Amino acid sequence: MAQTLARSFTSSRHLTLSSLIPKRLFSSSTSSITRPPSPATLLFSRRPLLPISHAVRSVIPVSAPRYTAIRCRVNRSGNSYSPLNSGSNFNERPPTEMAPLFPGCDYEHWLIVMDKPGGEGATKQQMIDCYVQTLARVLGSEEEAKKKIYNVSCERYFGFGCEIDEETSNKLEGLPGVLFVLPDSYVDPEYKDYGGKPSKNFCFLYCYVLFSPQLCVEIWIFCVDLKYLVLKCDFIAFAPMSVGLRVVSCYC
Amino acid sequence: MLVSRYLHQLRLCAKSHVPSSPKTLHSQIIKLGLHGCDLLANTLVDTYGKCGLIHDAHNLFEEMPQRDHVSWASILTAYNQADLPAEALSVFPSMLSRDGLLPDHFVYATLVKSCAGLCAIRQGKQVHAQFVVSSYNRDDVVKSSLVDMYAKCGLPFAARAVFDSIMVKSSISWTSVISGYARSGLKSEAMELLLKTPFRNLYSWTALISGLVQSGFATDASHLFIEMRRDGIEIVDPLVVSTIVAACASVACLEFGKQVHGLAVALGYESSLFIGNALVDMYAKCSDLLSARTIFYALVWRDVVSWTSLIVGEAQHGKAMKALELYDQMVLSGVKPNEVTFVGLIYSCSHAGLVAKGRQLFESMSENYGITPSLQHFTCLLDLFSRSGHLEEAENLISTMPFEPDEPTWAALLSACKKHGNKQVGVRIADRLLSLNPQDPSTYILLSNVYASAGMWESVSTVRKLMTSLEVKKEPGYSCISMGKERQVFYAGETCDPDIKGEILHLLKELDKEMRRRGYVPDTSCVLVDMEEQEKEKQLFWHSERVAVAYGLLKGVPGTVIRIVKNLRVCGDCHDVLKHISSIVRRDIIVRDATRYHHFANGRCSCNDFW
Repeated sequence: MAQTLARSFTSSRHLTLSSLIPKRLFSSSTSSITRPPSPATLLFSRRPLLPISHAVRSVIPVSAPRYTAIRCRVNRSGNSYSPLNSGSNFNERPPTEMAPLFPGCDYEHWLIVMDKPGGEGATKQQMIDCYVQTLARVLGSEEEAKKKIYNVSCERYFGFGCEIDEETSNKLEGLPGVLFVLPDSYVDPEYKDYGGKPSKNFCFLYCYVLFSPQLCVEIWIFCVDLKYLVLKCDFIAFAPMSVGLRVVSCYC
Repeated sequence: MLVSRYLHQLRLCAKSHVPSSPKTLHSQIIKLGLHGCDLLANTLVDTYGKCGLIHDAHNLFEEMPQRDHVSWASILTAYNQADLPAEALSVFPSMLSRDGLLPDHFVYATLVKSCAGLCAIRQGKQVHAQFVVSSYNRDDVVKSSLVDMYAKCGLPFAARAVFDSIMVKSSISWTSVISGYARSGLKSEAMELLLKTPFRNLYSWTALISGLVQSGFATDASHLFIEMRRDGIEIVDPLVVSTIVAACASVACLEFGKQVHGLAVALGYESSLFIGNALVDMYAKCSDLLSARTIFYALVWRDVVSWTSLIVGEAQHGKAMKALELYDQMVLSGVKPNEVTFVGLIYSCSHAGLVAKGRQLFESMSENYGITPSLQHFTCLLDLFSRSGHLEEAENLISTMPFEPDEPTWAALLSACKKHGNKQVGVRIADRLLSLNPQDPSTYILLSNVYASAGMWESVSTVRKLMTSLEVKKEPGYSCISMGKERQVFYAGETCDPDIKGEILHLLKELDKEMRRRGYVPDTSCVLVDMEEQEKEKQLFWHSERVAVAYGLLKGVPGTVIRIVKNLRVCGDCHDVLKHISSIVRRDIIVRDATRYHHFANGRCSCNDFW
C-alpha cells in the first residue's frame, strides 16, 4: 500500500507539495475537508524518506507549452466567378503559430462544460455520475474515466476537468449533454493548479503527516473507502497536533 | 485638483478624437510631475487609444511601473479599435507573468473580441475555459462577445449554447446568433430566431441577409430582402444594399440588380464606395460591361477592389488589352494590386495569347508586390502556356509548382494537347490523369478522344468501361434564363411545362433544319451513354441551354440580348449550335457557364472556341 502510494505520488505531475509548505503554513483560507482527521498525529518516520520535491523534479518531465497551428477560416465561396467575394479581410488572418494565452494550457487537460448533468434537480452524486458516464463513452470504461477526471464542479458551473489528448477531446463534442469542450489552463498559476474542488464524495477519514529529515512534509492519506486515492493536497492551516487539508485534486 | 482637471480634459479629448490634443496634455502632465499618478496614466492610455495613436498608447503602457485592471482593459481595447487584435493577444500573457493579475470581465470581453477579429478559435476557446471557471462566469457582456466570436468562426451551435445561457439578451447578442446561423447556411434556424427576437430591426435583418449571401444562398437572401422591405424597415445603413448587389452578381441576375441599383440611388447611397464596388462587380458579372465601366469612371474614390472588379470583368469577357490598360492606369494612380488583380490579369493574357506579358506579370507579382502565387495563379499561367502551344513548358510548370495539381488542371492541359495535336505529350498526360481516378465524366470523353486520335484502342476501351461504371453526374445540368420579372430554369433531360414544350420543340426542329443546311453536323461524342446515333442526336436536342435559348426566342422581346446562366461547362455540340443560332436569328446570346462567359454573335464566340 505504502509503495503504491509512493509510486502514485511520484508519477503525478501535479505534486508541488514541498514548495507549498513554507508559504501556506500560516494561510488563513478555510479547509474543505469534510471530516477532520482524528486523531491527527505527527509521525516521525524512522525510515529515510526521499523528499517528495526531489523525487518530483527528477521524475516528472517539464512539459513545454504546445505551439499548435491555427486553422485559418477563409471565406471561400467556391465559385470561380467570385474571386472578389473571397472576403474583405485579406490582410488580417490569424498567425499560423501562436503561443497559448494562459499558462498550463497544454491541450492535454480539458474542461468539459455540460448542460443539466443528471437531469433537472439532480443531486451532486448524480451529476458526478453523469460526468463519469460521459467520459466513459469515449474512454471505454468508467474506471478509466474516473482515473482521468481531475476535478468536478456542481455549483458555479456544471462540468469537469479531465486529462485526455486532443483527439479524444474531439470525440466528446456532440455527445448528448456536452455543451463545450475547452482547453484547460491553470486557475492558480503560482501553484500550477487546474482548480476545482473534488466533490464531497471524496472524503477522508484521517491523515498522517510525516516529516522527513530534510524538513519536507509528506502527507499520506488513508481513505476509508479504498476506491479513492488522493493525488495532491496542500496545507492551508497548521496548528500543533492538527492539520487542515485542502484536497486540490484526486482520482479514484 | 490638478489631477481632476487633466482627467476631465483627457476625457474630452477621447470624445473628440483629435490626435494632437492628448500629446499636448501628456507633455504638460510630465512637466508638472503628475505622470506617476495611476489614474491619469490609465486615462491617458485610453485617450491615446481612442484618438488612434496606438503606438503612443503602447509605449506609455509598457513604461507604466504599476498596471492594474483598468490599464489592461484600456490597452487591449485600444489594440482592438486600431484593428490590431493579434497584438492584443500577444501582449496579454504578461498580464499574469509581469503584473500578477487575473483578467476581469472587461478584459475577458476584450480578449474574446480580439479572438473574434482574428477568427482565432483555439485562443477563443482557451479564454472561454478560463472564463467559465472564473468568478465572472455570469457576465452577460462577455457571453455576448462569445456568441459573436463563435458566430464569426463558423460554430453556430456553440454560439447558440452560449446565447441560451445569457440572462438578459441584448440586441447585439440576438444579431450575432442570427448571423452565426445564416453564415453557416442554416436558414430555418436563422429565420426562427429572427421571428422570435424582440429586436427585429435593420441590423438583425442585415445579419440574416448578409450571412445567407456569404454561405451561397443568394436567391433566398434576395427574397428576404423583399420581405424586409415589406416589413417597413428603414434602410439607414447601406451595408444590406451592397450585400444584395453582391448576391445578384453571384447569380448573374441583371434585372433584380438594376432594381437594387435604382433603390441605392433613391436612398442616396450611390456615392458609397462599397455600393459602387459592388455595382461594378455585378454589372461585369451580368455581362453588362458598358454599365460597369460607366459606374467605375463615375466613382469619385477608387480602391483596389474597384479597379480589380473592372479588370476581372474585362478579362472574363476577353478584353485583354483593356484589362492591361486598366492595370497600367491603376499602378499610375498609386493603388497597389492584390492577388485577385493578378488572377484577372494573367487570365486575360491567357485568352489573348500574350505569353511574354503573362510571364512578366507572374514574376512581377512576387518580386514587386510580395504576393505569393496561389493555385489559381498557377492554373492561369498553365492555361496561358497550353493555349499558346508551349506544351513542354506547361508540363514542366505543372510538375514543379508547389501545389498538388488537381483533375481540372490536368484536364485543361490535356485538352490543349488535343487541340495542338501533340500526341506524345498528350498520351503522357492522359496516363497521369487516368491514374488520378477522375470524377468528371467530361474528362473521360476527353481521355478517350486523345487515345483514339493516337490510335491506342485498348486504352480507349478501358476508358469507356470506366465511364459506364461511373455513376450519373451528381449535379444535374441546368440553365436559367431571366427576362424582366421572370426567371425560368430548365433542367437537362427533364420535360418542361407542357404548353410551351410543343412550341420549343417546333422551334428547335426548324432551327436544326436550317443549321444542317448551313453545314452543321451534330457531335455525338458529347453523349456519355451508349445508344444509337439517332437516339444520341435526340438526347443532344434536350440539352438545357438549347431549350433555354428557344424559350428566350419565343418569349423574349425581339432584338434583345438573350442571357443564360448554366451551372456546368457548355458541351462542344451546344457551343456549335449556339453559334449557328446566333447567326440565323441575328441576335446576341450570352452564356455564362462554369468556366467563363461565351458571347455568341454573328456565328462566332468570344472564347474563340477554346474553353
